[in-house]
Amino acid sequence: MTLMNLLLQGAFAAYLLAFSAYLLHLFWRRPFLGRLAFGLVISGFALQSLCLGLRWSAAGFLPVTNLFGTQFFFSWALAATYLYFEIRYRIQSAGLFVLGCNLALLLSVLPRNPALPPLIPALDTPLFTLHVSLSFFGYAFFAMAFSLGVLYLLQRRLDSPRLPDLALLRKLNEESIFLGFCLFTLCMVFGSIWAYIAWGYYFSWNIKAVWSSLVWLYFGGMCHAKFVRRWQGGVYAWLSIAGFGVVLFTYLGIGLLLSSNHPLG
Amino acid sequence: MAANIPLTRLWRLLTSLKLAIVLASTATVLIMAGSVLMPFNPAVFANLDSMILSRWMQSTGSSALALSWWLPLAGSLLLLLWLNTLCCFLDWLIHLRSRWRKAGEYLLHLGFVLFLSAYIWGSLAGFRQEGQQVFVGQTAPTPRPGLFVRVDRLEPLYNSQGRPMDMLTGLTLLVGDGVVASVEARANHPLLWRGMVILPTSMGEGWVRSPNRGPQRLPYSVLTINYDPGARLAAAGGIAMTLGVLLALGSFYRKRARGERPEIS
Repeated sequence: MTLMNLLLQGAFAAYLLAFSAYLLHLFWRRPFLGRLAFGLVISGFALQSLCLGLRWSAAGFLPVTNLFGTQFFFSWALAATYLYFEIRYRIQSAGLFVLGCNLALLLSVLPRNPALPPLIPALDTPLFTLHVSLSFFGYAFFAMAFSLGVLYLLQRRLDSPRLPDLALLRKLNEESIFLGFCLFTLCMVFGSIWAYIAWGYYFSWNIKAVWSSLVWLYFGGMCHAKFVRRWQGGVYAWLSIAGFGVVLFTYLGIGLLLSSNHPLG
Repeated sequence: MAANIPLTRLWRLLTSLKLAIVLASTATVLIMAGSVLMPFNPAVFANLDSMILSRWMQSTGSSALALSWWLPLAGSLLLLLWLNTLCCFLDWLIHLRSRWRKAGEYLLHLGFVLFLSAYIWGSLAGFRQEGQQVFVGQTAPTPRPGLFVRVDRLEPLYNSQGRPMDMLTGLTLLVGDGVVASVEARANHPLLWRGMVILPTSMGEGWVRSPNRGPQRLPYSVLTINYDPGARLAAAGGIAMTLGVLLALGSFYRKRARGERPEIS
């Protein structure tokens, strides 16, 4: 077993234990469980970062050119997003869904061949690295917004002391959407420049590019929707949930259900 | 005074946040539905990137209106969104003294306006030409009158296993006999000149009849020659968006550090 496999499996185990500890913490509110889970997420993230660093160094480019690479990077971005909110707001079990997504992605990555594919010349540019990494960080924030949206609706129904209060959930949801939109905007800018020098046009009508523009338009609309008083909170939570559906279709649905000539399927 | 009331109302409508949300969401839903038709009808949509949009609408699009009707409708909605966004930006400029803190958000608006303007300009007044064969040493006219392209040299680049990976193509752009641009083109390094982009897409060998030496077997390059008069405007839009995102992020964290929530009015 290679060092990279060991690191990957170590990260998966750490996230799985962290997920379990947060679940226990949700029902049995002991501070040490929260601290333990946070420590485990940090450990998993450190192992995954090391694995990503080794793969990047071995390949000589950010290894996100196949499904293994993109799922691995998306999972890493989800963990980083979770840590951002945990360190900033101590959200603890409020990020369970994001950790769950992270675990699901890693679980689907584990049986796949981790071999590094050769880099085709069209992808050999820093614009590609920026475009892909920013898109996955955008997606990760939108996944976090989905999680917070679901929790907001749950909390509104349950009014549980185990979950963060509605005002905090709403604030975090809006922050998630705002940050995701900012990163996704940069992803689109760098993607357009790359498309122009690689194919001679800055907007393509391939279905993945069209849906990426729709993701941008949708979340741009959401950044405006938070100003509509009647929509603050509940409607915004539903919009976050629907938005993640659009993200999932753009990332996975198009590649799996339809055909696209986008470089990443 | 009375004459001003309808104008004021019109201005309020044009700068309305709710209008932006309605237009963005309607366009999003329409394009979502329409774009799903694209992969299932390649005979209609596969060549959308091969020509400018106005030419595609005049040729392929107009002969398949049952499948392409959503494109002009979505275009009309996006034009209205463009107008709404432009008016919002102008309204912000008028009230700059009291709203300068929102500079990041409004630079994003400006970026969107510039980018869409550029795309419309390019879709009406640009051109795209694929598959132009030019033999090494020969000069060929481009679709832009008075401009010629010369292929100076052609060198395939191989990977360590001896497989061709890329090609180095010496390209020179001429106005009459005068050289205006020259480049060693390869993947992601096209010839760029005032909205014109020339990319070698493949290569081959063929027979050329030379008046002095008879038939000769020579390598040729297959070129894509695109012209988009809005390319520099699109770049300005990209810069405005990038600056907007950076300013909006800075402003967001400064407000959060002060404990303000001014984003909810």
